[in-house]
Amino acid sequence: MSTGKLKRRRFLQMATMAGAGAFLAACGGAAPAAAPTTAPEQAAGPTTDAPAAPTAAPTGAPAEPSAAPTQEAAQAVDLRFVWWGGQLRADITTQVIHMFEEENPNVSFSYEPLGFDEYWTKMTTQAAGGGLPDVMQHGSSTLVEWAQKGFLQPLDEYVAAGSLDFSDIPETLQNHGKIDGKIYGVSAGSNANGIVIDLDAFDKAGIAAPEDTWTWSDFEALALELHEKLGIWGFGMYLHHIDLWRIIYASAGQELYSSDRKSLGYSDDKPLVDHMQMILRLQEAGAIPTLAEETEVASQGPESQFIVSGQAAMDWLAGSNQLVALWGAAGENRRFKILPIPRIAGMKQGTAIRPSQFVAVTATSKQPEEAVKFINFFTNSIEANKVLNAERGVPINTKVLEALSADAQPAQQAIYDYLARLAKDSAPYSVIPDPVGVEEIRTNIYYPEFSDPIRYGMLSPQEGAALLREKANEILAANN
Amino acid sequence: MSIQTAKPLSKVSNKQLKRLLGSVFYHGFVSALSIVMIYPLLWMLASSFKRKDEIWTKASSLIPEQLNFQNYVEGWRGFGGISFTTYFSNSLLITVLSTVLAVFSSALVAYGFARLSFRWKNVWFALMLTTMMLPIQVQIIPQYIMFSRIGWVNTYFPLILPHMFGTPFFIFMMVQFIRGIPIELDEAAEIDGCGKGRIFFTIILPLIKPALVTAAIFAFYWSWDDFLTPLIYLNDPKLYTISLALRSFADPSSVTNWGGVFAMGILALIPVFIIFVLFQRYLVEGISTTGLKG
Amino acid sequence: MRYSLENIEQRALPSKGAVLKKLSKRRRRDNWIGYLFIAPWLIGFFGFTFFPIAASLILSFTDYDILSGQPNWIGLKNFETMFFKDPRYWRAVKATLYFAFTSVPLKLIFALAVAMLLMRGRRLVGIYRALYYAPSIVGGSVAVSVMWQQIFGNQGLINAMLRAVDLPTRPWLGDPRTAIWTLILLAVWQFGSPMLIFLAGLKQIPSEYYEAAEIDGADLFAKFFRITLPLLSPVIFFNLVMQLIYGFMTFTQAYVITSGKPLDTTLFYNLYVFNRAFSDFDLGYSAAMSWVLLLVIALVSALMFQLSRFWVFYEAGEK
Repeated sequence: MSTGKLKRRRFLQMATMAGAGAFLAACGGAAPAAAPTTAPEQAAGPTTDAPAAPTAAPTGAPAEPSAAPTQEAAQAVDLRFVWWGGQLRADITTQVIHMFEEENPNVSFSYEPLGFDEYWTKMTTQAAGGGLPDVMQHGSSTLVEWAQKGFLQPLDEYVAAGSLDFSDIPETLQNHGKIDGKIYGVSAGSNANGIVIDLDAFDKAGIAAPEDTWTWSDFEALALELHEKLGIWGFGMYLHHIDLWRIIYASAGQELYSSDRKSLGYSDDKPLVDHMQMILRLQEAGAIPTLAEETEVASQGPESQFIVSGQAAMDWLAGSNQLVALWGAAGENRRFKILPIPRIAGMKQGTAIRPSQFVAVTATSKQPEEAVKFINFFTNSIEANKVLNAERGVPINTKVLEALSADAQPAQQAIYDYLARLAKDSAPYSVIPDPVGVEEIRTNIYYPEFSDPIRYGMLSPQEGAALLREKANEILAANN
Repeated sequence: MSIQTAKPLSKVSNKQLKRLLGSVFYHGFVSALSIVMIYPLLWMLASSFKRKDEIWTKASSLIPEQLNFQNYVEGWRGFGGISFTTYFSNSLLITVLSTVLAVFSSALVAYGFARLSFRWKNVWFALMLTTMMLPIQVQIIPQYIMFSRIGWVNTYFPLILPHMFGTPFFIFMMVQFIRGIPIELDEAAEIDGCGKGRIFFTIILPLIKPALVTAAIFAFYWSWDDFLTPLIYLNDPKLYTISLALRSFADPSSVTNWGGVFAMGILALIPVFIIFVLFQRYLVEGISTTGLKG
Repeated sequence: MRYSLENIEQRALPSKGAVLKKLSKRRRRDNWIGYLFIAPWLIGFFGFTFFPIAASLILSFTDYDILSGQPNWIGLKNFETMFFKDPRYWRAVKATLYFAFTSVPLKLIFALAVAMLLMRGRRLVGIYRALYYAPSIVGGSVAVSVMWQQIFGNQGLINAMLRAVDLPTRPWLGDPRTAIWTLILLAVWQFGSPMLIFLAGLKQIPSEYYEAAEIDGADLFAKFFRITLPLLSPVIFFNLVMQLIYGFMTFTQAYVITSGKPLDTTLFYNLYVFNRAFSDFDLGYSAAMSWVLLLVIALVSALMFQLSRFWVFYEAGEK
C-alpha cells in the first residue's frame, strides 16, 4: 500500500514537470499554429485552379489554341515552366526567364528546377490530377506519348503566324518535334550519340585515333589493342545501350519501327546478334568491363564513367552534350574527342543528329500565346542562348550557333565539331517518331529480358534477339 | 576516438584495475565499431571538400588534396537565385510543426487504444495498422487529386496538416509503451477521482517520455527527409524544402554539381543530428542512476 | 517468468480483484471517451487516408493508364497477368522476401545488442549513440548511392581491403549473387530506429526489478532472460512487426542505388510497383500489385499478433 502511494506521488511530480511543459503548450497551440502563414498568398498561381477534371484529364482531341492571340498580350499573365536538370541548368534557365520577363513586363514566371526522376514523377501526377505547367520539357519518346494522349498543343499555327520563328532553323531540325504532321515540340538543342575517346590514352598506347568512318570490326580490334597495351579497358560502359539498337539497324539501312508503328521495322536479327556476340567476345577478353562491373556506375551520370577515372580509353556518350560534364569531372588538362558510333562494314552511317530534349506547350495552358513567345525567345534569341550556352544541346538556330561558336570552350567546341561532322552523313532522325510503348519496351523488355541476361551469360544472343522481337512486337501491337 | 578513463595506475587497487580493464575493453570495442559505422559519412565529408575533378578521379581517398570550401559556397547558392537559406528555413518550419503535431496527437490516440475500451476498438486498430501497408506510390495520384480539389496545391497544408491526426507508427509504438505501464497506477488515480484526461496528462505522458522522445526524433527526421510530398505539392521553388532541393542537384543527363551534392548533403544532416543529440539524453538517466551498477 | 516478476515486484494490492471488477464495469461505460481520444485518427482516416486507399482498390480492377485517363473495368485481369504472365513480378516477390527475411532479423539483433551496449550510464555513451545513429539519418539522397559505390564498387573500400590481403575481389553491386546483400547490409547499417526504440524500452524498465534480482543473486544472463527480455517484449514485438512491414515495403535504397539491377535481383516489390505506375503509367496494374502486398502483409501481421500471446508480456494485463 505504502509503496503504491509513494510511487504515485513521484509520478505526479514528474507529471507536473513533463506534462505541463511542452506537450500541453503544443496542445493549446496546435490548431491555430497549423495554418502556415506563408502559404496562402503563394497559392494564387495558375496551378491551384486545377483546370481539368481529376481522372478524365484532357482525353479527347488536344485543345485548339484560342483564336484571338493579339489583344490579350498586354494583360498580366502567369506562366509556369518546369524542367529537369542540375544546378547549372537551373541558374542559366532562370536567368533567361528573368531576361524574358524584363522584355515582357506583363508576364510573370513561376518555374521549377527538378531532378530527372523527380520531374517525371511530378509531371505524371499533375497530368493525372490536373495542374500541368504551361511549358514543360520532354524527351523524344515521352513527347509522342504525351502528344498523342492530348496533353500537348500543336504549335503549327504559331509557326505559320510567325510568332514561333523557324526561319533560321534547318528544316530537318524543325521537323524533329513533328508527330502525325503537327509540331508538338521544339528541340531545345541538338545532340547525338557518340563514342568519346581519350586522346592521351591513345598517344600513350601509340595508336592513332581512328577515322570517323570506322566500322565495328575496327572498333573491336582497337578495344582489344588498347586493353593489351595499356592494361585498362579498351571501352567503358553501355556497349549494349538501347540507342545502339536503332543505330545498328539504321546503319544496315533498316528502320527500327515499321511505318504503322504496330511492329518493329526489321525481321532480320543478324545485325543485333552480331553486335551482342562482339560484346561477349570483348567481355571475355577483358577489353570491356563485365556488366556486373559497369552496373555500379551506370546510373550516376557522365561524371562517374570509367573514362573519367582513366579506367577506360574509350567510352559511351549517351548524348554529345554530356561531354561537358564528363570533361569537367576528368579535369581541364585532359584531351577528348567524340567519334560517331562505328558502322557495320560496308554499310552507312547509323548515328543521327537528334534533339536532346524538347520544350512543349501543354494543352491545359491558358496562355499559349505567351508560352510560345517564351519558347521563341528561348530558341532564337542570341542573348538568351549566350546564357544558355548550348547546355541543353547544340542550338538549332543557325545564327545562334554561329554566335556561340565564336567563343566556345574546348568541350563545347568538340561538340560543335562533332555535330558539324555528323551533319554530312547523319542517319535521318527517324521520320516516324517513336511509337507509344517504347518506354515499356525499354524498362520491361530490352534491359531486363534481353541485354542484361545475355551479358550475364544466361541467354544466347540468338535466343535473346528473337525474344526481344517477339515481346516488342506484342507491346507495339497493343499500344498503337 | 580512443578516450579512456585516465587514472594514475599506481593508485589503482585490484578491483579498480579490473574495472579499468573492462572500461578500456568496452571503449576500445565500441569506438572501433563506431568507426566502421561512420566510415561512409567520413567519406562523404571528405568528398564535400574535393575539387570537381578530384571527386571522381580520386574517389576512394579519404583526405582531400586541400580543404576546399568552394563546394559549400556553390552549393549554398542553390538554384536560380534561391539559396539554401530559404530551403533550410522552410524545412525547419514544416518539420517543427509536423513533429509537435504528430507526437502529441499520436500520444492521445495511443492512450485511447491502449487504456480505454470502446466498441470496435480492435477493428479500428487493425484498420490503422493496415493503412501502413499500402505503398504510398499508388496513393500519390488519388491523393493529389483530392488535395488539388481542396485547393491545397502549392501550400504547406498537405505537408503539415496530416500530422495533426496521428501517425500509425507512433500510435502503435506508444500503445506498446503504455501497455508496459502497470495499470494499477491508472486505477489508483481513478479511485482518487482523476478523469481520463487528467490520467493521460499527469500519469501516462510523463511515464512514456522515452517513447515521446523517440517519436519526436523520428518525426523530425522523417519530415525533414520526406521529399515525395513536397515534390508533388510544392510548385514554387521559394517553398521548396531541403530534401527536395537536394534532389535537384543530380542530373544523369548533363552536368551535376557533385561537390554541392555532398556539401549540402552534409549540412542537411546537421539539424537532424542536433535533435538526436539533444533528445537522446532523455534516454540515458533513470536506469543508469538507480539501475545496474558497473 | 511471470512468477519471478510478481515476486520481485511486491505490488499486489490486497483489494486488487475487487477494484478491477468495479473498474472494468466503469470502463465499458467509457465508450465515448475512448472515441474522443482516437478522434484525431478517425478524422484523419476519413478525411485524408480513406479516399486514396479506396481509389487504389477500385483502380486495381481497372486498366487505368495515368495518361489515358479513362479507367475501364477489367475484373481480375490485372491479378491474372501478375500471377501467370509476368516473370518480373515473381522476381520482385523473390527479391523482397529474401530481403525482408534476412535484413529484419539481422537488423533487430544488431539493434538490440547495440542498445544494450549503449544503455548504461558510461562516459561518452551519448557520443557513441550519436555515431551509431548517424548512418540512419543519411536517408535516400543521391549521395547514398555514390557512397555505396565507394564501398562496394570495383575500386571501393571492400575490394581494396581484399586486394591488400590477396583475396579475390568482385563487383559486389553488379554481381547478381551479392548485389542484394549490399542492400541488406545497408539496411542493417541503418539500424538506428529500432535501436532507439529498444533504448526507450530499456529505459522504461523500472530499475527496482534489477535491484531486487541482484539481491537474489541473479547473474547477467538471468537478468537478461528473466527481466529484460520479458519486460521488453512489447517493444520487441513492435519492432518486429514494424520492421517486417517496412522490409516488405522497402523502396528507397533499391530505387536510389541499384534500380533493381542486376538481373532484377534487387527489384523490390515496391520499386516494381512504382516503375509500373510512373514509367509505364500502368496505375491499375500497380494498384493491383499493391493490394496483393497489403493482403500478404496483413496476414503476416495478423499471424504475428496471434502468436504474440505466447511471448509478449504486458504489464497492463489487458488482452
